[in-house]
Amino acid sequence: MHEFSIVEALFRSLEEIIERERLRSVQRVRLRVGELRQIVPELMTFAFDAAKEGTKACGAALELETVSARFRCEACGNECSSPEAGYACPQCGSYELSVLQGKEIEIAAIEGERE
Amino acid sequence: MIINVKQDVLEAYRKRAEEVRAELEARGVYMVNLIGSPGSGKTLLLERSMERMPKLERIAVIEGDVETQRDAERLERFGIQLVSVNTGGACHLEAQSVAGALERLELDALELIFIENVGNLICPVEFDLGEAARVAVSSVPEGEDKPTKYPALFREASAVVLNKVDLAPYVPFDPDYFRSEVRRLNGKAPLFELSASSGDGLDPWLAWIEERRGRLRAAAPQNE
Repeated sequence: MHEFSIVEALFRSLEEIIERERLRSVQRVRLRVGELRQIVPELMTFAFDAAKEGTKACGAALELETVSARFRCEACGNECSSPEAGYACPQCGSYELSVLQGKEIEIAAIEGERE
Repeated sequence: MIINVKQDVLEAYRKRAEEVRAELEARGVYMVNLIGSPGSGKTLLLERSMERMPKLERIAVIEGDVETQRDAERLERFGIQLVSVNTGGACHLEAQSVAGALERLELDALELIFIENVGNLICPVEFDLGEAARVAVSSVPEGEDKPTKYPALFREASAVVLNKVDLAPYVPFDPDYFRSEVRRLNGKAPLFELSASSGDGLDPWLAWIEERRGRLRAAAPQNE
C-alpha cells in the first residue's frame, strides 16, 4: 500500500508546480515509475483518484509510464537490463551493480490551464 | 498546455535523509534501520542484542509504531536512550520523523542507533531514513518465499537476518531456497541465521554491527 504514501508525496510536488506555473486546473499528470519500485498501477490510480478530490487536479487523469531497470557493473563496466537471473553481472558475475535507471518516481509532464 | 517538469516526487524525502546521514557520519554515529514483517522478531532481536552489547549508554533505539509504546516499553529496562515515534496510521517512518527523533536524543553520547521501522515489508523500503545500514529481518514461520515476493527489501538490504531458526523443525520452511533467493537478489549482503529467542547465532550479527560501526567511527572527522 505504499502507493498512498507516494501519491501523498506526488501531490506535494504537484501543488508546488501548480503554484509555480500559476495553473487554474490540471487535466493530466504523466508519471514515470521505475520498475524496481514495486508500484501496482491500479492501486496508484486508485490512490491518485482519492487524493485529487478538492484540489486543482480534481479532474486530472494519471498516466503511468514504466521505466525499465538498467544496471552497470562496477567491476567490468558492462551494462545489463533484466534482473531475472539474479542481481549479478551476466558478463563477469560481480554483485557490484549500480542502478542506472528503474528507481524513478518522477513527474514527467503535466497538462493544465493557466490562470 | 503541456508543461514538462521532470520533478522527482521523493526528492524532499531524499534530501532530508541525506542531511540526517551526513550529520550522523560527521558525528561518527552508526544508524541501523530494521525492516521486517509484524511478528518477525525485530523487538526481541533488539532485546537480545542489548543483553549482549557492551556500553549500553552509547546506544539509542528509535521505535516506529503505528500506535502504542509497547515495543519501546520492552526496551526500557536497558536504560538506553529511547524515542518512540507513533506514525499515527502511516505504514512507514520518514526521514523527517527520524530527524525529529534525533533532536530528542543526546547525540554526543551515542555511537549506535537502531531504528525499528513499522512492521511492513513494502512501504518502509521506499523511504530512506538516512541510515548507514538497512537490515531485512525475516523469520522461519513466514516461509521461505519472502525474498522472492518482496524483492526490493532484500535487494537493497545491507544485511539479512533470518530469525526463529529454532522453529525450523516445526514449520514448513525450505532454508536452501531462502538462502539461494537472498543470494540471487543480493550477493553482497551477509545472511545471519539466528534465534533471538534462544540466542543462538547472535554473535556473528553483533560482530557485523560492531565492525561496521567501528569503521564509520574511525572515518568520522572528529576521530581523525
